[in-house]
Amino acid sequence: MPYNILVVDDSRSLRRVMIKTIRMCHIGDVTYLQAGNGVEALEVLSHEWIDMIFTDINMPEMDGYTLVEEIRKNPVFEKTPIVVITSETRRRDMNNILEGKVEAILTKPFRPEDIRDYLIKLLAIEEQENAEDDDFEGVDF
Amino acid sequence: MQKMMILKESISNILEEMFFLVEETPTPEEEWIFDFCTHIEADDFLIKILISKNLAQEITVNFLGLADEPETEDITDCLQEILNMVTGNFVGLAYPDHKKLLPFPACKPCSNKSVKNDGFEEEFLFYHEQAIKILFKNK
Repeated sequence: MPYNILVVDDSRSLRRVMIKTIRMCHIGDVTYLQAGNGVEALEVLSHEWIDMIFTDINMPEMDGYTLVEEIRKNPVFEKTPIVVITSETRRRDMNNILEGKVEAILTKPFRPEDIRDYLIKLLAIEEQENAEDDDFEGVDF
Repeated sequence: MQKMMILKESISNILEEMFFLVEETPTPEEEWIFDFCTHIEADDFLIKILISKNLAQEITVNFLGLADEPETEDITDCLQEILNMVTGNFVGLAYPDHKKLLPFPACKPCSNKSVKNDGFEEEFLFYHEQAIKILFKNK
């Protein structure tokens, strides 16, 4: 089954690493869409169906908090899985703001296995289609 | 000084976990050459990290999985992302009451003389017989 996955981060390097990580998960036919901030992400969402979103929090123009609010206001995307990936480590504040609005919050550096686990769980992918743990041996992002 | 130690530890951890660089024992002091400076100015502090071109290239290649020599834009983007991660970790430990989102790091090519370090605490980390210089100022 083909999936459209949106990666939102102001760092081009981080977007590339995220896409590389998702590729390593072998979840099938994936189209990757990218955005450098919340405004760009909403632009993508205005004309593309998206199955899952990975987003940073601290971004210029529109941060991840506002982006999540805007996404959840749109009935089309109110159930779309969102995983936040951030270097902000003040989890309690973040949990309070994002509680009930996103499926997970990961702190950088993250483990590729975490990304794979959320892909499998949130896209309801059959386990046998996926990469073995060996594919990620010694890899942390 | 305690904040500088937290910062140094944060940099060491991020470089090891995300960039596969394990800190080495200090090498004898010499005139290190630095080619890139990534920096951030928050309400409470300033941080600058200086790094040589060779080490910056290696970090970028490791992170992005590149086969070829990285472009300067790749290097500066990668170094900014390092400082972004470091600062997030550092603030969580050194300024636990900090509420605001952090400002965005910047990065540019530099020379040793072009980076002002008046009033900054100074520390070094060592990788592959090269130094990373850390400058920190509490406001």
